Formats: sequence, C-alpha cells, structure tokens
Amino acid sequence: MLSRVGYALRETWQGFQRNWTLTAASVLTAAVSLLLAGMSFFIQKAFDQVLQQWSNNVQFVVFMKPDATTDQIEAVKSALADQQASGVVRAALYSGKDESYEEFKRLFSTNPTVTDQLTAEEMPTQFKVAPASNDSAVINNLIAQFRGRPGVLDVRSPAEYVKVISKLSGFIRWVTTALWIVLLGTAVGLIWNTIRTAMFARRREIEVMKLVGATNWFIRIPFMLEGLIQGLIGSAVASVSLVGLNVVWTGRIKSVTAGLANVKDLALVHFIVGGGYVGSIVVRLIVLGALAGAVGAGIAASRFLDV
Amino acid sequence: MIRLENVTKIYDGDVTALRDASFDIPKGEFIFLVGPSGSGKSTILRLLNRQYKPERGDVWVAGKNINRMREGDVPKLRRQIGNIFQDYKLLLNKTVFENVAYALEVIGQPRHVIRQQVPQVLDLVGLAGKEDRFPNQLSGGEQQRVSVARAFVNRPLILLADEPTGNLDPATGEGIMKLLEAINKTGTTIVMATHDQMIVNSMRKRVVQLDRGVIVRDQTRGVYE
Repeated sequence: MLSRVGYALRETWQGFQRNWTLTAASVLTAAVSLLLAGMSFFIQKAFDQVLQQWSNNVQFVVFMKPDATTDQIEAVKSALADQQASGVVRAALYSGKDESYEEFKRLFSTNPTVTDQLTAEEMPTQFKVAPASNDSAVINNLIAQFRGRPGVLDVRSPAEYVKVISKLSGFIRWVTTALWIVLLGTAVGLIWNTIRTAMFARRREIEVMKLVGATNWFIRIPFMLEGLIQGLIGSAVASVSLVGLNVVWTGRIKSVTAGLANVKDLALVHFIVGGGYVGSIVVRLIVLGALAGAVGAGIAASRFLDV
Repeated sequence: MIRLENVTKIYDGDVTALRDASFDIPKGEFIFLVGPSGSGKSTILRLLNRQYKPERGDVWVAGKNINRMREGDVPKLRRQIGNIFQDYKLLLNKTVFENVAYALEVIGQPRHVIRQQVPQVLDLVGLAGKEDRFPNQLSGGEQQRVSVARAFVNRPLILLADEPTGNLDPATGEGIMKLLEAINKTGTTIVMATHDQMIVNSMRKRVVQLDRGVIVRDQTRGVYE
C-alpha cells in the first residue's frame, strides 16, 4: 500500500517537472480566474453591506438653494413641523450654512484644495428628514411635496442612491461572475489539455502498464492527482492575492476615514469586508480550484486511457 | 489452458481477421502460429490477452471465458500472461533493472519483492551485470532479453510472443528461442507468432497455420510448411 502511494506521488511530481510550461499556464489561468471569482464575491459582499446600511437608515435631504430667503427656509421648516406633528416624519434636522460647511470640511479633510475653494457662504443649507415609515410609496410622496417648493434646490433620498448603487453592483456582479466562469472554464480546458498531453507523451508506458496488468485506477491516479494539484496551487495563489488585496483595501479606507467623527455612518467604511468573510471566500476558492483540477484531469484520464 | 471455440474477429465491420477458429492448448505446451502477414496470427494473440473481443465465439484462458469477463477483472487476467513483441516495447528512459521492475511496480508489488525477483530473472536471461544500462546501450538481442525478463518476472502461466525474433539475426534469434524453451520447461505455456521457417523447422513443436483468417493446418511436431 505504502509503495503505491509512493509511486503515485513520485509519478505526479515527475509529471510536473516533465511538462512545466503547460503546467504553469494551467496554474496561472486557474489562479487568475479564481482571483476574479474571489473579487466578485468580495465586491458583492461590500455592496451588500453598504446597501444594507443605507436602507436601514432611510432618510432624505432637502437641499435649499444657497440664495434661499429666510422666509422660504422658514416655510419648509414649518411644513416639516406639520408633517412631524401628524406623525409622517419622525425627525427633521436643519443644518445651516455653517453646519453644512463644517460637515463638508470634515468629509474632505484629506483634500485641502477642495476645502479651500468653497466658503461657508456658498454652502447650501439642508434639512435631514427621517420619515416614520419605511414604505417607499410614503417616502416618495413626501419627497414630491418638498421638491419644487420655492427655495428648494433638490430633494435627494438614499432610495435613489440605493437604486443607482444596486444597478451598479448588479452590473459589476454580472460582469465579474461571467468573467470568472468563462476563465474557470478555460482553466478546466487547459488542465484537461495538460493532462492529455502528459498521457500522450507517456503512451508507451501506459501501454506497457496495461499489458502487464496495472489497473486503470493505478494508471489514472497520478494524472488525476497532477490536475488536482494544479487546481489547488491556482487557488492558493488566488487566495494569497485576495488576502493581500483586502489588507491594502482595508488600510486605504481606514487611512482616508481616520480621525473623522461618526465614521460608522459613512458609506465608505461599509465597503470594508471582514476577515472572517474573506476566509469563507478562500474556502470557496479552494473548493472551486480543486473541482476544476479534478474535473479537467478526470475527463482527460478517463478518455485518453486507450492510447 | 487456452481454448478458442469458433472464434470470428471482424475489424471495422467488414475486414474478417479471423474466421471460425477453434483450438485447444494444454498447459505447458509450446505452439507456433505461422502464416503470412495479415493471416490473423497477431489477432489471436490480442484476443488471448483481451486487447480485442471477438464478434463471435468464446475465448477461454486459464479456466475463464474472457469475453464475459468484467472490465475490472482484465488486469488480473493480464497478470497471468507475459507479452513479448518484435519491437520489444521497452521504456527508453528507464534502465534494464527499472524496465523489469516496472512490471512488478505497477501491479503493486512491494519493494523487497522487486529487489529479490528482478536480479533473479535478469540472471536467468543472461543480463546479469547490465542492470544499469539503458535500452539504447544494448544490442537488439539484449533488448529482447530484457523484454523476456519483463514478461516472465512475475511467473505468468502463459507467454505470448509476437515475432520475437523478427528484428534479430539468426544466431541471436536462436539465443532467444533457447531462452523461451527454458521458460517453457518451467511449465509456462508459450504461444508464438512467427514467420521464421528455420526456427519452426528446427524446434518441431505444434504448428497452427493460418491463411487469411482461417486455420488451415494444426499439426503436432510440425514444420513451417
């Protein structure tokens, strides 16, 4: 038994050495496709988190024109107070030019050229409104009431951002998923071809093996193992790259948001994907890589045994 | 040991390589299959080690009907049969020792068995001292001896030889025949396909003559023609 395991491992290792260019191509393709798969899972998770945060925190903002008169601002304020009294609006918060300017400076604190160009006078004033209900019909109705009022520049609701972001994330998800599936298919094909070539190169040995009574599994296993290991090396390379990318990504976001107040409310930080989730992606990549290798090599090994 | 019952083998649906062939080979016999190229000699050998299945008739080897055998049992059958070819079919990247050891290795024999059996059989075929040579460093006769050693190393019941002297000069071929005779004396049944009149005539063994797939003569202590 031990000699058989030794034989299989020796043959597998020799297979790698014999055919290292094709092997490298298979491994790299597998690695790239799996890295894309990992990034696709990663991006999905990040967007899901951001969308989750936004829809948990539904509110809209009524932006006043910078030149809105005090009467106009007071009119909006009293309309909001009425809505609050009737229970449609849970809370409404006014932020004047100075508050808006403070918030603006905080958000762009890492970018002094932007903050230098605007003064408090030029900032729009705004009302942050939290509707009592999560019902989008109610919210849209409310938004319609304030949009177009005198002095109102625009009403922005996260629902609109959510829609845009969902569309964007849906598109990215579709493209990356299609890409990694096509590339993984290519990797399976390349592994298949590598193993087929390896078997063809060794057809004399295979013929002799069959004639002296080696079982088909005995002949196949080293080839299948070779394919499996190619897939696994590919997933290892992809996993290491993904973890590396995540470290850089998280570091960048943290350095941009460092020192800011109410960091938790910023959409940006919700793009950080936790280490635990990255770990679960790595597990998926390893399973996918092993499957790709086993399938490619398995098909080759069962079809080309009659050489 | 071997029995063919009304065996017909057809290639690609229309080329009849063997037609209604029947014969019996008892254990320990040495038999020549003779006839021109394409007469069906090699077909018989390939039917015996289950490289081919016949369209009609039954092939019995070592008490088993091998046409009805499950695919999974074919390796077991082949471990009881040694094969020798005109072109030796040695692995050129392996040494003499490794070529012979390979036959044991791939059927899962442990290393201590290999270390014991291989030198023994190399001694038997007269290649002691050449274990570390590669096939290209050997003469044709020596290469054929390696192939005989590989076929015989796990003591098969049957040895199938397809033109084993076809590439050798008469004197060297005679050496191989002496070797096969010695192996036959250990009780191994030998079926040998050949064109070599001199060898057949000098050995006076049973001769089965084929002509376009039909057995035209089956003679004990026969000659080539």
